[in-house]
Amino acid sequence: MQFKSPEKCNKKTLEEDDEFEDFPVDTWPANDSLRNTHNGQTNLWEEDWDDVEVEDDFTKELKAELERNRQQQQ
Amino acid sequence: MVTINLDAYFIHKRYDDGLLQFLKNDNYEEAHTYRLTMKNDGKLDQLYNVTMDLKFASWVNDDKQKIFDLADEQLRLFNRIAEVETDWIVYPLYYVAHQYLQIARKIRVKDDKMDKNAYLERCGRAIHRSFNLCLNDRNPELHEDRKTGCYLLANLEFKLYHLLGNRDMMKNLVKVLQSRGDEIPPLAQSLAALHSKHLVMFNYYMGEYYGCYESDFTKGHSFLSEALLECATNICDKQIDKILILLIPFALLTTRQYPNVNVWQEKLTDNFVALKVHEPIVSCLLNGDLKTYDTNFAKNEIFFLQNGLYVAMSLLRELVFLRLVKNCWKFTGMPSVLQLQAVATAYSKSAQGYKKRKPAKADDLLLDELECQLANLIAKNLVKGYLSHANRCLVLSKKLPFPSQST
Repeated sequence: MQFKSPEKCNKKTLEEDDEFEDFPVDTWPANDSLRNTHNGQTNLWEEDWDDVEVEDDFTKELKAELERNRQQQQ
Repeated sequence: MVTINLDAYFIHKRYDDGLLQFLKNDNYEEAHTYRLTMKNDGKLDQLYNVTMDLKFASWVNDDKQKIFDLADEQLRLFNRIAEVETDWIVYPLYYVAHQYLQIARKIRVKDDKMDKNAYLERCGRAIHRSFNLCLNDRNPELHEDRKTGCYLLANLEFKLYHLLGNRDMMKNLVKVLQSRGDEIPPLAQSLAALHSKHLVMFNYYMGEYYGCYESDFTKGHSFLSEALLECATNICDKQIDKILILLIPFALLTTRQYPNVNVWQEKLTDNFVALKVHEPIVSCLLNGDLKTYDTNFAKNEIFFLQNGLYVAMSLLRELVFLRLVKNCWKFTGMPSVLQLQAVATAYSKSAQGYKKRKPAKADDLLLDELECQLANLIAKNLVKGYLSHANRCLVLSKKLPFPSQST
């Protein structure tokens, strides 16, 4: 996935830093809350920390580098 | 012309929008008339006069100091009135206090002669009085107790201490709320439950306090998760973003959960700061890339400082290193004895990036440094095993060398 650079939006938050309490409305039905529309936290968060295996440029190069190192040691 | 009869509220012990319209400062021109004929001990008459003066002064709007003084007097009078009323008075009390805070904030910007915090501090004293008269209510009828409103007033105090940058006052507030925890109703059964935004705000301020100021990431995580779950998408997108800015690092540090980016992107507009800032760092935690982590950290250093995240984000680096060691172990065939030389190769690659070529053999200094970092991982039970300095290797436990960390 693509993310734009954060600097631009950082600035925006910093300026508006104080305005957490500016909600457009005072209240909303409990049924509309994330707790009830999203079955609690499930699927908002990934929980595969221990088993996750990432294959990207970095891990590929790391693998290659370790392999090179192993051959040099022999 | 709408006639609002103030007597009725104090006789029937309930409020509606009419009472709030009366208390409001900036609606002088609206065609309301307010009637107060009830016999009273003078406090209500005073409140009536001060409120009407405040409306007029806000309409003329040429004397900020006068508006401020009237707002101060309005809240002080209302505090005295609220002292002898039951729970019904709490929301109107919050309304007056909130309005006063808005006025105090505006004058702070305009007037540079006076110490810029003096107005907020004076406002804070009156609001603190409102908070205390909720907290210290001793009504034997629990359903009539003003304690139900203490979270709303606490939210105003949190806001105020943020504006003043006063962490000690925040600490006192949290301490009071904690020590009186048995007496005050739980958040979900308090007045806040009727005003969803207060559920979100209270949990957010508490989570921010613990995570950013006390480095108690477990408590920070638990309050902020609550704040998030009370939010409704579309209505609270801005707040969800601000919650996630703090919650993502706290979740990584405590439960090792990380955001499901696809789900969040689907739900939310794309100018989300939290994902933009944290997504590259989450990637590093999953692949062990220290250089990219360091680059992103440096890029957002000021942002982390301003948002109270510097400590949390710094602690995450150790988890990037842990991932690197684990990957190094996996990629070398999961040996029970991991040569430090291999870790050094991986570390140099990870910390220095792709381009630099390093000597085939790591020097003693680097190996010592790595032993030290690994010793920390072992001490924190993130790695099971021991170091053999003589053989320059890490001897790993055969059973679960990298203990499960998800909770």
